[in-house]
Amino acid sequence: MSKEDEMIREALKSDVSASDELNNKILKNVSKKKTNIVVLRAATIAASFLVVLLGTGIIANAATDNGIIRYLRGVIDSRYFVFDNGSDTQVYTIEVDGENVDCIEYTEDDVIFYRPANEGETEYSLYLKVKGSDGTNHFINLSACVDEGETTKELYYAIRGGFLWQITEYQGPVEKAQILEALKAAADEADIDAVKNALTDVAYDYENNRRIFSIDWPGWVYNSEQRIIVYEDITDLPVGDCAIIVNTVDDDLSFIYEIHINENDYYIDMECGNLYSDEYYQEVSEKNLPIYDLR
Amino acid sequence: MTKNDLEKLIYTYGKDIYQFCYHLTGCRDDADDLYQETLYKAFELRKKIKDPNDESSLKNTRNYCLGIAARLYKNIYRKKIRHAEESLDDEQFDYNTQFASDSNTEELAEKDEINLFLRNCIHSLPLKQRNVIYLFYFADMSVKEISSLLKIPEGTVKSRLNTAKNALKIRLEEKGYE
Repeated sequence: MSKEDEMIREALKSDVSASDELNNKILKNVSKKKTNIVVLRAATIAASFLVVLLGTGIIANAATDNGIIRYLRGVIDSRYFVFDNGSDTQVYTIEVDGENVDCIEYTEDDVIFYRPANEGETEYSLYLKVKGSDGTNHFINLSACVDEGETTKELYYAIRGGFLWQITEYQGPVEKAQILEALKAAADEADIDAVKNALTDVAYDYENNRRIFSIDWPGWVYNSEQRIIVYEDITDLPVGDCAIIVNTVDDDLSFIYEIHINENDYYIDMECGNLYSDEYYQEVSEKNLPIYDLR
Repeated sequence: MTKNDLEKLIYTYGKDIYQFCYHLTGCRDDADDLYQETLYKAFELRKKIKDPNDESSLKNTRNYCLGIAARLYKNIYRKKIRHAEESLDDEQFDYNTQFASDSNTEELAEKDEINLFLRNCIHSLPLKQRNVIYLFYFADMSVKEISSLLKIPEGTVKSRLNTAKNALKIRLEEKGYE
């Protein structure tokens, strides 16, 4: 551990703790809360179904050869899209300390996804139930959120960056095929172009094994607040190298990063990041630093 | 989670969770509120602690609570900024008074002064960087654990840590500390 590490650790040592009174109050209150939630949950199930039904008209009942399977398939607009291979689902809203939390419960599997609806934010979620190659189910919740009123461009990159990063761990061929199918189905049904395009591009990147190294929303590059997506292509760079990466962030905006790599670790030095310009590109080229143009 | 699970969690890791809340908010009153909300939410969302007598199982739940606290505070922080209701350095801010020690030697006094300065510097970092600093240095979590908790790539955790450390280093150097 470096001296700086020790100093930070030392500075954060403290001896404060919650009072016994506060802890006792919490323990006393939780018993009451549990009862309240059960009542609230029962009362809100009917209401939330009605809202979903009226708002987007996305609840469907499907008949299959195996009998009636109820499922919920949503349009991924400002709500959610559920992809699964046949499981009873139940959607309801509960109130937790004054905050509405949407829940989707896979009743057969005893799995519940919670989607906090934060004030001022819209969350886009894609729920996947994927049958793994080992026979077990994976429940995957892909989500990205943007502030209400944000541009569609922001929405596009939030989904593109956030979703791709969250699914890259699923690389088994069985799982991957189902996830790709879900992404494409969700893209087909999306009402918003930015969502449709983002899901299509996520599917393309995922299919072509592109991975994300870092995303930051907003990213701090020279104290500017910009979206940053850095793909993991840098892992192919030589150890010990110092490279300049031109990384596509979006069609209009690119960054140049300085990458430091050593045997144990590698990181992107954000302080050295800069908005791409032809002049700056020329400047670093003249320093004879290797340039990896990832556009 | 049962009431007994929660009791066990508070007994074993309540202090950690509270201190994390305190580092985030910088004020006892706000830390009390955040701690309370965090435990209520954990109680409601966490189905159960696998084995309340198992240390690693309890530690996972502690980490889960730290994640809840970070998310809850993010919302509070954004609302504060949006509504400009109060700033972080108003009269409620009692962050440093709580760390005062009995420094009876010059060396200890200087150490306290550095710690005080460093805590203030950390507290003035952007929230995203602060979160990873607290989780890494205070909660002793690995980059992988933080990545999983905050749902961000490991690369992002590393770069935030690195950026934060560089910023702190510069501030210390400016102040004349080596």
